[in-house]
Amino acid sequence: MNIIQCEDLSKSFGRRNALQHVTCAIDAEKIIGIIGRNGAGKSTILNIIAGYIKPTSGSCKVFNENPFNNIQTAANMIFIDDRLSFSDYLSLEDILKFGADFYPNWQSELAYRMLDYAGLDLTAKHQQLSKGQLATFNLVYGLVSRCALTILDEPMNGMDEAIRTDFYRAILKEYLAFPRTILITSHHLQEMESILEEILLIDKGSIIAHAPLDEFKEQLISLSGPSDALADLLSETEVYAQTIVAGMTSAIVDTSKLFVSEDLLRSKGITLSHLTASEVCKYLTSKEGSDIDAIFD
Amino acid sequence: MQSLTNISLKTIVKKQVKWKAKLYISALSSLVILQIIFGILLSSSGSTSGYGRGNLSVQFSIYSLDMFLIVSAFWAFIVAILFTTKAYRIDDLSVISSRTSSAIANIFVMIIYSFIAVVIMISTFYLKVLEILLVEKQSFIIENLFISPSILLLCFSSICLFGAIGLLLGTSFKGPTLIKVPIIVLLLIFISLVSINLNSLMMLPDLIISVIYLFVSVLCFCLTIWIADKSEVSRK
Amino acid sequence: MKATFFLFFMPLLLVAAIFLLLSKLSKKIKIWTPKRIMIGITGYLVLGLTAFLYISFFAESKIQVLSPFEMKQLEKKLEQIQKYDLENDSSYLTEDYKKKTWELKYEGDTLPVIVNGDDSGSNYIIRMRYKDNIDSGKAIVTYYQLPVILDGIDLSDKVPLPNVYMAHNELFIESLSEQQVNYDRIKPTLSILDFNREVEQEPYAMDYSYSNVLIIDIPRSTVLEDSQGLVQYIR
Repeated sequence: MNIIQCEDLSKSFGRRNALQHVTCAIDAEKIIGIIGRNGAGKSTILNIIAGYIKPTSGSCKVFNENPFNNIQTAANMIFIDDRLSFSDYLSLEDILKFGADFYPNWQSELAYRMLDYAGLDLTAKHQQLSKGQLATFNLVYGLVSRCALTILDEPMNGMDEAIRTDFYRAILKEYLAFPRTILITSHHLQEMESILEEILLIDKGSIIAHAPLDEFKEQLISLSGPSDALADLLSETEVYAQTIVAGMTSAIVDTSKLFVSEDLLRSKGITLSHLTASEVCKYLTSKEGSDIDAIFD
Repeated sequence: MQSLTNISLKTIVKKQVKWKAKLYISALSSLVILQIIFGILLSSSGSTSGYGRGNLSVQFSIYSLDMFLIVSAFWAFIVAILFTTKAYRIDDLSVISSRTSSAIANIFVMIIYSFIAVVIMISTFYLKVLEILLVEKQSFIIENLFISPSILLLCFSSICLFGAIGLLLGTSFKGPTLIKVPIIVLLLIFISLVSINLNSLMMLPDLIISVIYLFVSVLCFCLTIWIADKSEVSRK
Repeated sequence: MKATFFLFFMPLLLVAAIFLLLSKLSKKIKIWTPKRIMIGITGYLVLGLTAFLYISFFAESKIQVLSPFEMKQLEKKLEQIQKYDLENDSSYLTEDYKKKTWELKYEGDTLPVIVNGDDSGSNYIIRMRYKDNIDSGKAIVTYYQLPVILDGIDLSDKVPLPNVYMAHNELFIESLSEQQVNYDRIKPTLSILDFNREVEQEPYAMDYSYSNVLIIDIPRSTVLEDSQGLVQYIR
């Protein structure tokens, strides 16, 4: 059974097409990074998976059921973002009791320990917390609920670096203790890479790539060498970006479209280097030939 | 793979009602304040009726339940609309809930609060009577100290009705557009019908009016649940 | 129609306005937790209950409201009394209703009667009777107060008595100017309903305008001069 199954999913808000013909499947408990630029459609697809909004066309199935307004889906899902809100009357401790009352797998002890570690005062109100403290609390809330589908929409927003590192480890440790499907969106892919198993890349409402992390990283490769040596090679294959500096060209190309061996390339004086996942994301989603420097020239 | 939790709608609704009844309590405290302002402080003279017979002219200052009921009914309407606003809706998303379960929970909370509102209304009335006895110097006539159950039921059903209409209005505002317009049109027709037939409605015995009000309330509640089932929600 | 519409929306707007005010204020007053609010509301209800108990035990209203059953009985009684007028028999006017008696002396055999009424109209009838046991030169005026029921309350005590006196050997009967009485009435029902129902159905209040009776007893030898034609003979 697929945990999440989207078939030809489309969603438009008035005239704006947020998602177009999205098809994807998530079949096991993994930590998946949902990556995309601002306005790519990440939040939309997450809202559909969470059952908050209905697709305009196509279908979405979570745990083999339509998630929209579905109490069974809601019982196994939690959506954490920076807009998570609670009643004014509840202190953080009361909120933990609130969550414990609803979620059957709630880990009270763990919650107290994590919040104590983060230095949060449990008598404070949710609205009184600073941005970083809020993010910390929300993340803890999401993790200790131990829902089969945990959606974290930019969970580290506002957290300082030290605590970010700690909580990436916390996510991983919690995942190992209680395996579940975790969908994380973030703008800091390089930090997150260590805990991700798969990456789902969304751009302009469509899925550009969906692959395990290693496979994803191998998608693009960087070639650098003398411009004349690279010229004919580049003409045969798809180039994502290239820069020419003093007769030396650096180009990002699709690995699958490269049909020459590494030795041959080295003989021509061309060096191969691997890219980080975030670099791959950047090049896959950037407009062909667009460059920020060009605006200022 | 982990086994999934299976929770019934009933359990979730029960939990939501328990928490909402506690967390929305500021609504009841505002009712108390409203009752005190309108019931005790403002209407210090009651309504008067006068008679003249020969050379004797009599002025009666009547203190009855009307003002308290009107205030409570309007309170229920406003509070019901408040329950459907964004801030309250997105609070529901922080725990296990669906639009349907939240709507049902809101309905139960509204019913519970209507009941408590009637009790608050009675308390305010007796406090007002006490004030009259202690403060006013003119002679007083107590027709009957006990409020009859049929009047109480009528008060409860009136408050419930206004709450139900408020919930329906508020929910349909957030619902799909196709439903928004017909509901508002329907409500306007209903209100105009009622205001035309109000006199004939009042002729019926108390119990019948109560039953009619409760029936319409239940209708509104069902519509509310039906619309909520189709509504989308967004934290943004 | 427009008036009721307006009346409907004004209180609604007022309530909404106060609500907004309260919500703005409550943002500052953060000492109220749900528990304290619940205690506050319970305290308020207990206060109301205490008020109710105090009123039911200590508050005594000297004025009794007549139930419809009692009123029907009274109605029957009054019908009986009214026979005095139909049968011209003063025996129907019993001692129960005697309110006041004046003994007046006059000279001679004729007694002119002058009635000065108010514009509002005197609500009593004047009758004269010949009594054998009265000495000559003496007249006994008796005022009979019949029950006056307004909205279920017997207000007979409050009806101002006429002023009866002798001046220049003439009997003056004057009705006093209007008297105003005020009452606070506590009615635990919805007066809108009562008001509308009263108009249609049988009025709860018995507003019978049975006039009160003033009887002048004079000896047979005297002749009553009634220039205004207001005095009638009764047995």
